[in-house]
Amino acid sequence: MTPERLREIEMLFHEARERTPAERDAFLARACAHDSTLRREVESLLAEPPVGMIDAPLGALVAELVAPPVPRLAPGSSVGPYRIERLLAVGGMGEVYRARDTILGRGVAIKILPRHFTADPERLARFEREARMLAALNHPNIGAIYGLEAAAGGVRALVLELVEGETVADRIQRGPMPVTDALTIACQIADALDAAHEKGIIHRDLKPANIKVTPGGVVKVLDLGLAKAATGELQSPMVTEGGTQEGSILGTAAYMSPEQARGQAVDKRTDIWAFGCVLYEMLTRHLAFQGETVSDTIVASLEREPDWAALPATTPPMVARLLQRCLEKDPKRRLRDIADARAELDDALSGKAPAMGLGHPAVGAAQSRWGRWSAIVLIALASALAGWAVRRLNPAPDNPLSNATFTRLTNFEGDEAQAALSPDGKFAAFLSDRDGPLDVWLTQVGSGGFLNLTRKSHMPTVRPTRNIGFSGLSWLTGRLKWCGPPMARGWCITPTPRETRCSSRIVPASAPNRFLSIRLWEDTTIIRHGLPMVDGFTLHAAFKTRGKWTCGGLQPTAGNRNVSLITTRMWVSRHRLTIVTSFTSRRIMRARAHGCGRSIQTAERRAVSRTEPSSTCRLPAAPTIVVLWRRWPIQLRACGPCRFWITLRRMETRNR
Amino acid sequence: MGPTHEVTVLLRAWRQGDETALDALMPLVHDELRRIARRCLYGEHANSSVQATELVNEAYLRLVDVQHVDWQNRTHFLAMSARLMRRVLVDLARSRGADKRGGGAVRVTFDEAALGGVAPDADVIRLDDALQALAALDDRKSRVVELRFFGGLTVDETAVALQVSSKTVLRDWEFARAWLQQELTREAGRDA
Repeated sequence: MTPERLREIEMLFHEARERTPAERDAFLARACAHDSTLRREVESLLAEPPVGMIDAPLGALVAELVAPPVPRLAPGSSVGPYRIERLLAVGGMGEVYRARDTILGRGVAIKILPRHFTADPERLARFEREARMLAALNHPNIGAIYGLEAAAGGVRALVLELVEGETVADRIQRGPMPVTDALTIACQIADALDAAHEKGIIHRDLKPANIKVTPGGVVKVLDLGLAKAATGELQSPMVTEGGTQEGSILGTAAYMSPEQARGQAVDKRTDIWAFGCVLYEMLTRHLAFQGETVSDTIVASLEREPDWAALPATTPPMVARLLQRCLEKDPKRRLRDIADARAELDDALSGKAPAMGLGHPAVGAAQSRWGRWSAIVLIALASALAGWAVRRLNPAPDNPLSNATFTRLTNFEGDEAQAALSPDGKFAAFLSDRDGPLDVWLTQVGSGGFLNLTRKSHMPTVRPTRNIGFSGLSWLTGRLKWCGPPMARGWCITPTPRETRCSSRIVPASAPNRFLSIRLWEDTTIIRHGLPMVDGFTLHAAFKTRGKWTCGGLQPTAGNRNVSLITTRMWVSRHRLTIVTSFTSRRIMRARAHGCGRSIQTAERRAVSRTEPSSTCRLPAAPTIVVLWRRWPIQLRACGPCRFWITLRRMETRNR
Repeated sequence: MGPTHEVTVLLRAWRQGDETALDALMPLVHDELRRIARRCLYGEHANSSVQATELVNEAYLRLVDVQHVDWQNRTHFLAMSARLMRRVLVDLARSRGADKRGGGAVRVTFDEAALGGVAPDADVIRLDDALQALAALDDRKSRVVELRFFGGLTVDETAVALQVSSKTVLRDWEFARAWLQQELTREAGRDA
């Protein structure tokens, strides 16, 4: 370029800027009639992102440059309660360590925030606000944020869930992925996005490098929402830092939605676009939109269609259609809800879609058997619910899950089962086989600590057929004798006096006159503080049918063989969660399966795989309901053991 | 000779065309900046945001014995310090970049995308290169950026230093900013 050329460009640049955007095009077309290169140069300058490094305060940059680099943390050193084990990776400006939470005894990933980031209090405050919101997002397919830790020397660290396994990007690199694998991974990504979108959180930077698959096959979406947390509402990570990112820039641009590339406001449909890009890449091993430079890549996503012919021949037609809907350039025409993608993928995987027929070769025989089984049950369930809902539309129930925050309570290796809440909502007991045969475990909600009540104690080994429950007495007061040395974390377990009918008592060492009594219940006994249960119906789930919330449960043929479906409706009135149960016989269930609409089926199916209240109770003083949820792994295909979650829902006063 | 007096002498020599004076000057400034930055980060004002102008001014007011400087005016002094600042920062960035490349660690993409930024050393070096390219095409624009970005001067102060109107400075700034931004993006794309 010559100085003359630069002056020419500059003149047009200023003249165009003085015009309204509408007039600009006409002006440039006229002024650059014979020089299309000139026009491109001016246009690209006009379109430059408004904020960049040059506008950032120099002070932060200076501070970062002049300050001694953050010393690498040595193994064995501590950041808050976290003991550093080893360095996992080093980024351009921060390190990620593997660490151990010395209180909870679990592995975590610690990410040291860059100094220039923490030096700006406003930016840090915003990041903290966002991180707090993201930390509330608990989902098995989302890499959790545990907290933000301030350590010595002004070091700030983000504490993240430690996810083992390879990223989807690595997996794609490694070799072709069977269609079933790609769809199974996509299902779980969709699930994660759905959970985030429900809370109004958008990922904004979904890409294969941000998605990990654990050795157990569980997908974890990482860095969800962090892009916004770091850069603020209106900026996409890529555009803002366009000039300054090394390496990652091309990687990010390829998954950027057209509206994101244009710098327009983004919503959840931006994630749907990126989801489409990721699924396309998993199936084809090629980027959906590719270019040699960042600008070429962006132009490709703005103007070109992906190469649909590259999809493997075994791709179910409905998946190809789904991809097309995800990769619609106009967000208005794009798939609206990631949950719809989830449902479509389910159908494709279970081989239920009419276009595919049952037993599609791409789907394993075992899976299609499961698929058929689940389809029958779910259609039946849906139809029964629909029929039942028509009969009982009043009173209109509130959504008991709105405003609820879910907190994961347990995450042990192995299986967990049979949880119960104490009547005051402060303790949960459950069974786990982490340390051998099933033991009864106790945890104080919010403490993060666990106590194995039956290990090396005088209590009998627990059989899996037993239910567990608390006695209705909650905290009893009175005198008691110590028995044996204190157990873990200041608790000890004592034999129960005869006058109470509890199996055992748990006593805090710090307050020996207060204790919690606990009791193991025989099989098929009603859990006192759980949902109403009849004849051993134990599984419950929340459903959304035509916008109304209800819940239901399934019991595989046990007990009364004629009654195989139980539906339960729940609604919230002032300070109270009410549950109504009803039954239907298997014969009726089958009959109803025929006239069942598809939209309801998919809605119900999603709900089934989600959460089920396992135990619930009301706190006497505050208008709060505590519900213990059992979260089953998605679908009937095994994806891992179930986990317990707890939610505290603040009740609104209705007659205000 | 105290450090303050030493700096004054060196600055005067540099201004009169002695480039070796700059070599002696830079470590002094560097150390002072380090001290200030450390105080800003960890000291009693740990939470106050560090402003460029404050940093620069503080560094020079501490270094330079203003009584003995025959600066024609404050603006000239600031322009001088902007240039020095640029040299110091680029120098620092290069030494840091060399350290890091020697580290041989694995890169993570997460930082750059999510935390909004990249290693500032790479930024500074790229900006310096882009500014040199700009100076070859239009020296004034390059100086406007130097004064405003590295010196923290306002539009009016820059106008006085360059003896042009504020409007010209503003137009230069707007264009140079867009141009540099584009150059930096191109650079990043090439590196990737």
